[in-house]
Amino acid sequence: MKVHLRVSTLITTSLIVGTLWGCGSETDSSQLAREVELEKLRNEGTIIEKVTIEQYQVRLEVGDTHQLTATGIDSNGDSRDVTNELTWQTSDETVATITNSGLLTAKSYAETPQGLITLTATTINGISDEKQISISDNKVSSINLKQISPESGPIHTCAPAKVSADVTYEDGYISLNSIKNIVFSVDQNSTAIINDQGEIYTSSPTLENTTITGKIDNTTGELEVTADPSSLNAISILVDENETDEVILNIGDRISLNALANYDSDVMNQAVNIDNAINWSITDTNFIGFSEKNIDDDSSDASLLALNSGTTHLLGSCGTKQKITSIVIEGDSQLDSIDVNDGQTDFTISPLQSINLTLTANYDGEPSILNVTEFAKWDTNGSGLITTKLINPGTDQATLRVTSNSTALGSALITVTFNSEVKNILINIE
Amino acid sequence: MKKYILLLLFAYSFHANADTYYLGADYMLSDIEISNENAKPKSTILRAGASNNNMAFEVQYLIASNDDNIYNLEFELEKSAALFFVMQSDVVNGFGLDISLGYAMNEMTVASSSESLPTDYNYDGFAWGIAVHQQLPFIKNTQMRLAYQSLFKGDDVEISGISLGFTYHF
Repeated sequence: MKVHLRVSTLITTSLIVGTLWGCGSETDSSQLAREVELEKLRNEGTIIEKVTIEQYQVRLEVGDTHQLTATGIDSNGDSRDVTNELTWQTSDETVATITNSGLLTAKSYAETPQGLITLTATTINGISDEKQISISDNKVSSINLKQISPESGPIHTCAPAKVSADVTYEDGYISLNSIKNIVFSVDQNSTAIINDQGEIYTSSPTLENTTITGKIDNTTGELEVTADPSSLNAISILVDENETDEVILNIGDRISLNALANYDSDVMNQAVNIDNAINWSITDTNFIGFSEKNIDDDSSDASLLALNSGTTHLLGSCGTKQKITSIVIEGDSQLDSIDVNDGQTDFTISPLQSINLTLTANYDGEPSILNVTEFAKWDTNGSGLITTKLINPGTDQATLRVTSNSTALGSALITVTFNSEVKNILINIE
Repeated sequence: MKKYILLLLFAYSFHANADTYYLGADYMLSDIEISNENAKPKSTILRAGASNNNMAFEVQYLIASNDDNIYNLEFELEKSAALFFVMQSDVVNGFGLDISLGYAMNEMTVASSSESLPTDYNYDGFAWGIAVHQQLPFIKNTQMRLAYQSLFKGDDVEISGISLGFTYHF
């Protein structure tokens, strides 16, 4: 079938479409659209009859953002998160703005008492809730640390627990459940570690008391928590997300490690991840390189890199429990030599500048080269001219960042040792 | 503005050297979409057009046959008037394809228990359609026609429909 597309047809068509496209008019139907949505909710019985704003008693400073949430109770009596179903407003848009998803941004300090501004969240059917939030730069006067998870009683050894604080300011305002600007620490006698989110991990095989300190400027608060290992039943090791008792690797293979813990059913029904609490040890480190998990990075995992053929054992322990996994590394390659940055031994940097050093192990077979930067021992020989920091551990991109820490000039000798191979690196600061 | 446009199109159509005139009647299953919900009232369409060299100008008038509900809201596409410029394919073995571009003025009514909700809504603007038609072997100059039309697409409301009917060429 042939469709006639003559020039006159095309011109006429273009004129019609172009002319008509922009010259329509319509009755405002937004109220009708809203009424349809309401009818739908009424029909489903899910129309919200009560709404409550949550996480509102917080003090913010200019530039801070804060995610508010809201819970609604519908006509069936069921509760649900309605944060994204509401129209959010603040009483003063010059002080704070808020998105349709409840994300509030502090724009300026409020001149009201305690820096309070009012938030309103309204449902499609006009049900609303009002709460106040504070935007002020007042100083902290006291910190009251408290256990959040579990809310009370001892925490469970190995399982993650969480603390936060009720922070009181000099103007009397109390910010609830806050971790903002708090620097957490634990006493040195404890096995516990705590991250900047207030998440605490313990691993003692006995009942253990830990004093947690939270600090903002010169104001501190303390909380003592007790970790109880008695409900811990077993731990398991996951290699590349699979539970296993034995792993067979080739030289150069890298695997991720995770750990799960099972507790008494009256404590926890499901296994919990204990990556931040478990202690890893390896019976013979000549065969594998081990990278710890970064506690402040949820996406990171502990990992292993197979370096030499042989058999070793990975031991994971936490509380009173432990788990052993055999690691068999196959392959004929032998370590031949090591190189820093493809064989360089002298490096020149300017004062206060940095250079990245990558140590590669050269093998006589496959794989021919492995990045072993993080598994080597780097010794700055007491030099005060430089500092070192490991970048990207647990990956093939691991590197040692060497930084000149002052404007002083001179040279620093770094000795790197890996599997009895030694290299000396000279860093000239000019 | 729209009156002038329609006037222009009418004037052009009547000045065109039409070689055939036609009349048509269709039954349309309308689709009014609002807030992701749909009402499907039925309508009747009357069409008249003049064609020349595979192009035609066609006027269309739609009247409601019945209404349809979205939950407790009763929707009716009360009436619609439209003018289309129609691009027609050659007819092969009695079969042809038309593509229509034009302007439609639609009136919709909504009945509800709410006194604050307006009842009358007007949606005017660009409209388009696509139709296939087949010559009926036993009735001279008469085609059976199946079409899809988009009569309005706006911020909150979209009106379209599928129609089935007949066209008679003089």
